[in-house]
Amino acid sequence: MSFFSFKKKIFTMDDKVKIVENWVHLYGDMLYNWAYNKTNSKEIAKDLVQETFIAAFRKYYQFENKSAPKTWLIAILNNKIIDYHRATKNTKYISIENNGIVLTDTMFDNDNFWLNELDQKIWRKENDKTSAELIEEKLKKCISNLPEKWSLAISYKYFSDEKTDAICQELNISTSNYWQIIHRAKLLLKKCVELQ
Amino acid sequence: MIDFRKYLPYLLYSCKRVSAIISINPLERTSKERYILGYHKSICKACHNYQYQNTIIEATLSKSLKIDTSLKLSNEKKAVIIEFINKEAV
Repeated sequence: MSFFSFKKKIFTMDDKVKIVENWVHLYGDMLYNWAYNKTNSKEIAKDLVQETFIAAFRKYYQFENKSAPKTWLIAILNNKIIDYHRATKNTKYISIENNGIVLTDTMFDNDNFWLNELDQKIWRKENDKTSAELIEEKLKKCISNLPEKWSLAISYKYFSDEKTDAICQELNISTSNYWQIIHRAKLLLKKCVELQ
Repeated sequence: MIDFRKYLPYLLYSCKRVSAIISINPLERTSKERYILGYHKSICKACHNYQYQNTIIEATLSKSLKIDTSLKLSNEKKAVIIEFINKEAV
């Protein structure tokens, strides 16, 4: 046994149970709200939260305190939500990330300048409430059409209080890759809003 | 004396590269990126427009992804989850 293995705390089964039980009380409501927001069904949201905690308990050895428990639990829940949508086929995901990359690339010409960049009508009225509501409505629909990883990155950015470094660690991507994903996701959302 | 020639490449950034800079959190932009963006925006209306659109997308996303936190998971459900976890532990 190496010197470093002594530094790693070994959790007993009871420790694990206590920790996850504590998480149920601390993060149960937050995860439930998040799941409900994504599924629009209280019953399904409850089931997904239950599955999330059970999965967290089973995979506890993967956690290792690299990120905040909240971030880790959201990651598990998001995967459950994606599986749910896939199973029910409620949402059309662009499963291949390359499709998204190709779509965003078509927004620029060969010299990488905006292609047909018109001042689209939808963006014009700065203080028009109807326009803002329309954009919000369209964006909500468009988010569900983003590639899975992009959708996750966007969800993390705006939902969790984590800093970029922690999100990148959770998503297992570099910071520059993360900003590239956020950038492409926003471009795709812009295109989607304008086309709808 | 400042050698302006070394800054020339930055003036030739394409809209594609500049739009990527626009998407970065303003607080996380480097001074080089801020300089490129400032210059490019002054000569490119499309990027100027995109920055405005990006602000709207950002604001809408933070608003719409901010979830309603009024729902509470019932104590009964929490107890059921804990029971499941205890069963898993056995």
